[in-house]
Amino acid sequence: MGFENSKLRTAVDRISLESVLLKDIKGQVCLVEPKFSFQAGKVYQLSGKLGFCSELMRMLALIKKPDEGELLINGESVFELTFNESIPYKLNIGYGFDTGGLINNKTIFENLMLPLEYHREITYDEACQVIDSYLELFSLSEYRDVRPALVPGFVRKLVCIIRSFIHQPEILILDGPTTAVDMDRSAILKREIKRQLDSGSLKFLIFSTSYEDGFRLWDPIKLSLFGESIVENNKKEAS
Amino acid sequence: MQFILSSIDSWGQRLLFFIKYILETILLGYLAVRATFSDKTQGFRTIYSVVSSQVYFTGWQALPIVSVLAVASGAAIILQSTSQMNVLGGVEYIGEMMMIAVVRELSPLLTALIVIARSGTAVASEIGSMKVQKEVQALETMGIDPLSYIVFPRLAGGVISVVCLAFYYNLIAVVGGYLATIFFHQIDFYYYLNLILEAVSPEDIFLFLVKNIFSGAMIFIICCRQGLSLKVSSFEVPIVTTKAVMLSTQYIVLFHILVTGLFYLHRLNGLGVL
Repeated sequence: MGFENSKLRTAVDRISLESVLLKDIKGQVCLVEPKFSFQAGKVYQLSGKLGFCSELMRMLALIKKPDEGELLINGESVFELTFNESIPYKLNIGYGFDTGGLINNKTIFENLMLPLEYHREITYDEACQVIDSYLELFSLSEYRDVRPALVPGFVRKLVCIIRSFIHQPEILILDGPTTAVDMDRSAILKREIKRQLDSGSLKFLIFSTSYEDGFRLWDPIKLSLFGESIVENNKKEAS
Repeated sequence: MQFILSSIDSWGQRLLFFIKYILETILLGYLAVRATFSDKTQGFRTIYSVVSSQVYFTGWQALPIVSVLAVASGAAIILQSTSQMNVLGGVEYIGEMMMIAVVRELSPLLTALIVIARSGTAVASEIGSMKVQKEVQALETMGIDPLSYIVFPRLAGGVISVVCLAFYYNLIAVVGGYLATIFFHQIDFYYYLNLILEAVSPEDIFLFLVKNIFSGAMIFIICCRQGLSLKVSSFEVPIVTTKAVMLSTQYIVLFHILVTGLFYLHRLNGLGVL
């Protein structure tokens, strides 16, 4: 497909946090991080206090500004950009969260088509092909023309996840990617994302999960958030 | 003394809130238009479909109720005015009466109130629900500016609908007025139509457009703004919807009074009275 030729995106080489203070909606401190960098080609599994990982992921998805400090992508402070200026980065970020915010007056197909049709990085026919292939892969074709309110919860969840990577972003952020999803489809999801990692189209994968060892296929680096700086569990275990 | 000072303070704060709200609303409208036309990545096709849906729901579906109100108001104006004018003379001023009462005042105001009641509430509650269910957040993550995808189409569709509805109101009010003349005064149709057409002036058209364009814009920007202001939970949806209706009504009525006042001041100035 034509995503690799897209002139609308900016390739991402580095993601780093500088002197970041992050609070949640209740004012509770989620993260105090003087300096941390996410490495390209690595997978990061977040765990920690309830809600803290979600706040970090919302910041990485460029929808929540840190209370202090900066998020740097390619050395650029992205929260100082206007919405239009940040679009080249946003097109390279995919974020799947909760029930994902599916648009209720659009069908499953239209929800998946929305980002593809809006930005026109590929043609309409190519977009239809991509969407139908993913619906077939996850055995969701029967829900293609159904509105989100009328589909089971696992379908909504899967469609949110698919929508987050359907445009082949370089950064993929997934909040509980297999929550409420059956084992077969979870396995398909993990394999599909692994394929994107191996192909190099996906450079940064950051996800949170309550299943400690359910994602060995991705060989993640485990990070913990408990209201202070990010702790790499692998290093902690080694020490 | 303390009571007087606190009353002045209270009224002063309300006035400041009023002015601040107007300026912020105008700014939101400007930002929505700018976001739409400056976003080079967007597909106008997706926005066009939302605009056309808005025109259908706000304009086309409101035609029945607007027709009823227009016929009733047109007939009432004609009946009242001709019954007096038949006695005093001056039936030839029927056209002026229709222009002044219906085209300049009733049609913009009543159309705006109908749109607020039907579409303003729907827009505010729809956008509020979108906010609660994180659809707005999802749009932002997809690189879709909510101002260009949510606010602008409703603003554009709203303005188009209100102007067309008000024009339709005028046509039906003229018909309603004529129906009243058939039953009560037997005025010739061509004579009646001629009186109406002779009374139309460029000022009436200007006033009509100013009032209706502003009404359409303000209603939908205020309703979008209230919907987007929702913070926490779905229990706030009826609160923001009610607030949207109240604020829209207040600002529309005040604007209409202001424009009418300025228009007549201008008229008096032209006549040399002021």
